[in-house]
Amino acid sequence: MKKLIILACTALLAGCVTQKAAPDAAQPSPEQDRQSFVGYFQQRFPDVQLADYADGAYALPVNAAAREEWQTIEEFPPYELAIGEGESLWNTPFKNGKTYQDCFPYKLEDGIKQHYPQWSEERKMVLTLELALNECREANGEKPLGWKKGKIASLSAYVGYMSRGKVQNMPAPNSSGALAAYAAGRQHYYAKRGQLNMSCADCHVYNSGMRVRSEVLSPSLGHTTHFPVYRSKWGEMGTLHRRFGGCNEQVRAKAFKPQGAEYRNLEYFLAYMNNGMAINSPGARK
Amino acid sequence: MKQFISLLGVAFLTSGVAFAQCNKETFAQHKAEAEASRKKASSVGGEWWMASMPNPMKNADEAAKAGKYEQACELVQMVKDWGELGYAQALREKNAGPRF
Repeated sequence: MKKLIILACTALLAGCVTQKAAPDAAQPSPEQDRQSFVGYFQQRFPDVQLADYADGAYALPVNAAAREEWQTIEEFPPYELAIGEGESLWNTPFKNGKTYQDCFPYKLEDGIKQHYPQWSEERKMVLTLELALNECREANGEKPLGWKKGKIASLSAYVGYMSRGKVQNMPAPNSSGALAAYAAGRQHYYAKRGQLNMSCADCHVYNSGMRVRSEVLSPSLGHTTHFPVYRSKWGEMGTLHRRFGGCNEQVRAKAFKPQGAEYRNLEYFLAYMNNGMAINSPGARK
Repeated sequence: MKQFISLLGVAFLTSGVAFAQCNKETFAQHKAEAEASRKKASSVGGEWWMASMPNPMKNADEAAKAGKYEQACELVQMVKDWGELGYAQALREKNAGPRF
């Protein structure tokens, strides 16, 4: 009987320990997540250096011919006009005499893009670069710009260009709010959606490097470093959230609003996966 | 056996009532059901969308206006199905994570 009681107690204790350990095992930390994410791609494409993932699908050996074309395009990049427009916008004072620089705690010369997206503990939300730019306009009595293309993309392109080479160095999400935003972005990324029942990861993780008709699916690693991009299909510049919406619609799911919580959280998750990579924004893509 | 056949008959009749044929008279009701289904999917971020038919409810209304109720009904039924499937999909994917 005594043995039975001891055994029962041991089983109960073991159960408690297992129960307590289980959530940790099921929910890896963002840093563990990032390491697995990077590790997956390094195993999938052993010949591709980590820094080269910033070039998107053009980094992959399977896409060597397209890489050559892209490198030629980069000699006279189609986003150059946008950088110029962005620079002019950045340097034009608002009606009240203030400038965009006055809204940012970081100097343009030192790079700004690498600090975004960031979690605002004060506002309990993820702040993106485009959101900060538009909020700056509103705070200075100017009308906000559209989120997906046009002047916001040009401004973002200029800020991105000035941040080139700076390393994305996001602090790991550690508050409950930041972790919740990260988890929401992560869930969005891995959740199958739409009539085609496909997740972001289905294309850009598990099938990265494979072809969809004539195009090679880009790996997610490096996705956030080069946006905004001039996309040949669009014939103009577009922001990351414009691309998110397009991806969602391609799997026949209704897109979320650009700069809504869903896409800001998704950007937060993806940018953290790219932590440690250098900014090479803006980019040119097909 | 007689009882079984009666029961079967009742079941058929009941299902007939539950899935009332969509037509000119019942179109508004079917449309409301489809809209409710779409909203339910949207509430969990699971709404479906198709580039070739970005606004099926509008198309259904136009078809109904033109008296093409068969086409209008097909569209609202599709929206209803999409809503149900999108809602179930979103719930199923609630805890989605990496497979590596």
